[in-house]
Amino acid sequence: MKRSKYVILFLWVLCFSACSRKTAPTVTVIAPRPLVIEKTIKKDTIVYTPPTPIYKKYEPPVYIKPFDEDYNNAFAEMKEMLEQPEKLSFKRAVFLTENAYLKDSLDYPTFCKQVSVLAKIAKQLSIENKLIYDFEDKSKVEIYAGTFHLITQGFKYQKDTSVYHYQPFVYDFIDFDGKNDWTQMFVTKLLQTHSGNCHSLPFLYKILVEENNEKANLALAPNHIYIKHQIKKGGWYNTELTSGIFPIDAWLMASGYIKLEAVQNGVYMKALSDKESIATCLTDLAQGYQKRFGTRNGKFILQCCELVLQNFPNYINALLLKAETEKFIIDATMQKNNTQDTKLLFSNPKVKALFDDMNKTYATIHKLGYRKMPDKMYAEWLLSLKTEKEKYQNKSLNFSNTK
Amino acid sequence: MIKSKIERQYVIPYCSKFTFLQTLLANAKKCKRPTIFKSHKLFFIYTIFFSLTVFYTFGQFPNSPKTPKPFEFKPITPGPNQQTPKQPSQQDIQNQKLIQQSQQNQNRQRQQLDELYNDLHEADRKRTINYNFPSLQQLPKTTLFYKAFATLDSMLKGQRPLNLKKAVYTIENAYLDNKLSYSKFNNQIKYITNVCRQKIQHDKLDPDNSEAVNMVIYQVLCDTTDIQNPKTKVFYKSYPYTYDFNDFWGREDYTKQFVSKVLKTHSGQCRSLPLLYLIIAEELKTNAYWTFSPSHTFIRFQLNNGNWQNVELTNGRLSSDTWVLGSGFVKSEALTSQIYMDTIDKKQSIAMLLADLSAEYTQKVGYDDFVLKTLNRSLEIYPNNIVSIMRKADYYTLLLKYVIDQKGKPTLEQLKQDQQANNIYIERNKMYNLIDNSGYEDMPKDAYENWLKSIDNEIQKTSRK
Repeated sequence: MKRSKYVILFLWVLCFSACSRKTAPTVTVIAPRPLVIEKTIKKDTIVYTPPTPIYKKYEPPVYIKPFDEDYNNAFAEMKEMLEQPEKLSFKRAVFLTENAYLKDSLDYPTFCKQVSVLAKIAKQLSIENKLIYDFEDKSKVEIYAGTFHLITQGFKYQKDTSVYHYQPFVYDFIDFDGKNDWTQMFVTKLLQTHSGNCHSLPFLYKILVEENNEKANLALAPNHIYIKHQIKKGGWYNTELTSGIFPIDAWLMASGYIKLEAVQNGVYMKALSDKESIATCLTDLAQGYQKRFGTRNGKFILQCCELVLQNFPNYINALLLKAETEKFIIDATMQKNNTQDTKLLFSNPKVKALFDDMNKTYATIHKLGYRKMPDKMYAEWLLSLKTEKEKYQNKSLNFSNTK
Repeated sequence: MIKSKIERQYVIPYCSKFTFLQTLLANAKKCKRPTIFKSHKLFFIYTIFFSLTVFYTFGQFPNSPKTPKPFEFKPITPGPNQQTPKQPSQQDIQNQKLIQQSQQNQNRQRQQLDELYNDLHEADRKRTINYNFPSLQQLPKTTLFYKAFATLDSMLKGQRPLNLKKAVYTIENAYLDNKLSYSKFNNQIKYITNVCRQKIQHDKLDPDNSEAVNMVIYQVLCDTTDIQNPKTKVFYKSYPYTYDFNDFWGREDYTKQFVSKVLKTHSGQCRSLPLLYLIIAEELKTNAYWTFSPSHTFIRFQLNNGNWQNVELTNGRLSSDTWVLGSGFVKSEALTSQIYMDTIDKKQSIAMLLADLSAEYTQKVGYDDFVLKTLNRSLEIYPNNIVSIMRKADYYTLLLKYVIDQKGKPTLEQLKQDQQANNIYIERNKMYNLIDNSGYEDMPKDAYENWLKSIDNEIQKTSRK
């Protein structure tokens, strides 16, 4: 019996060993392209290359120029842009605004060169990302996607054996409304430090998209600017660059400070035309003047505001600036004449006209549906887009197959 | 001798029925062969006999399949038994000739007929393409629709006073083949207005105060009312009108959208309930306004302080603009182009009812000139009505398809050469552009249902806080 057991066992062993193991088919692995970089280089050697500064080479002044010459020149050029549409250039308008504040120390060719390089990179990124979009305006949407990718994620490139990561452009939470340092609002500051706010990020996006000969529309919200596009799939949609999300209009209306009348009157959430975009730059110019020199006699600021309101009648920032300046002038006149007696003051027809205009402006502001938004509410509202992403994200925009 | 026999017999062990085989096998070793055969001689005889009968009498005998062989053709050789063809007789020849002639005649006739048909079709194609839908006016059911249009048109022209109750009755009656009784409709509405009036008296409210009267109508429609007139001692009872979630867009049963259905079944949807509210407000001579939002309508009235208040009758609550805008399907372009959230007055409401009349017509009768006439008249009075624009776009789309089918599906260039067809194409695209630029966004049914139910969630959220 034992012998038979062993025989049986031997037979089983033979039987199993007869089954041959299947080996996996060999696959020829294509050698990875040199741009697959993570494996070759350690993390701490990723280098961020700062861009070249945009400042002009210093030249000693030839003559003593008046204090507001830069601002007057900028105003004249922007007025010309508004009157002759063929000279209209948003990039130039933004540059003029910032250059006037920085005492004409910026170099326009360097600025243009940096912008054109970034635009080319954005276009290349759009091709590499392989958008899934089957409508007629695919090329347009590709450029939007490429620019968006560049701003929100940056890109990596390899040079020899080092890997460089061009950092994305992020939101700077410190001094986001430029109260302490007005240059926080500038696109040049954004390009140098890769951090900006809700004013400079959309401006940079618009400049880059227009460099690639496509359209991008700015849109306003309380203390906020974002981008609007119109495409064949889905019509108008919003782009929020501070958080890199595409919110639906319901998020903006849920901020609580956008009234229905404001939207119906075109104060908020309207896609601005080219002239209206230049008008916003003009208002920034006036605000920069105020930051640098103070209101003074208010002549320059009121001049700017009037030109703005000719081209963009319901622009709330211009209306506010105008009303505040007029109030400042009246207060200054009262102090100068050392009187609190309004009758005496209003005997002067100019002051009376100014006072009436101020009241009218305040009434218009209120009628348009504007309500001032506190800073804390603003920060919370911006954060709510990230925390309630599921509710407020535009779900029809999901073109990419890459993460 | 006997002893040995007996011994031999008892040597063999006893075999019971069940252990027969076992013991047989076990004892095979012990017992010698002949003894087995001897003792179980009968057994073996029986088994052989039965097995033979089984094998030879049982029908199913499994045959193993044979390998198929190719069929071998037998060669045919003509022999004395084969038939040979006969010589054709004269009659046969004549018959064949006749057959040939008749066949030739038939072919010729067929050719002539084909040519004739081709000529006719070409002429048809060239001359008689209908660039409008064939008129359905001769159908008897259209008379009521034409009458309804005349009534509403005269109201819009000012020849008659604007009366929502009459307008709503006329268009619903047209769809229901004149089976809706005006007196019954009127009486049902009068009952509700009486309840409202009694409530105003009961609560000692000012019947000229718009806010008070509107709140009373809202309460009567959305809450139970049970009051007694102290003088006449008559009881006035009314129960709330609910939302009918079953087929709320009226896709399967068009009459679900009707006010007569609400009066009959005490439940309605987002079009019929606000319309009922408006009719009652008209009867009580107070102001209430109709407002639109994606796939939805609701009521707005003005409070004493001048602010607007929304009334959501589907769930019996006073809602806010934020809730409506939070549905997620209202774009800012829709607000600037004023297709949504725009309070419309009575004249524009009747224009909206005209657009509904055209929709009923397409549902009941079909598409023809009457649809376009009604929609154009509606858009004259109320141009921002996205529903009318969409229905007009539908009309032109179907008309273009009709023309294309008649022309035999030409290419776009061929279509553009035909001026009338090109006009239809341009009109259709104009409508599409209007819709695209207005900021309209299609709201799916699930999203709509979830949004309607969300107001309860919001209220729970705030009450928890």
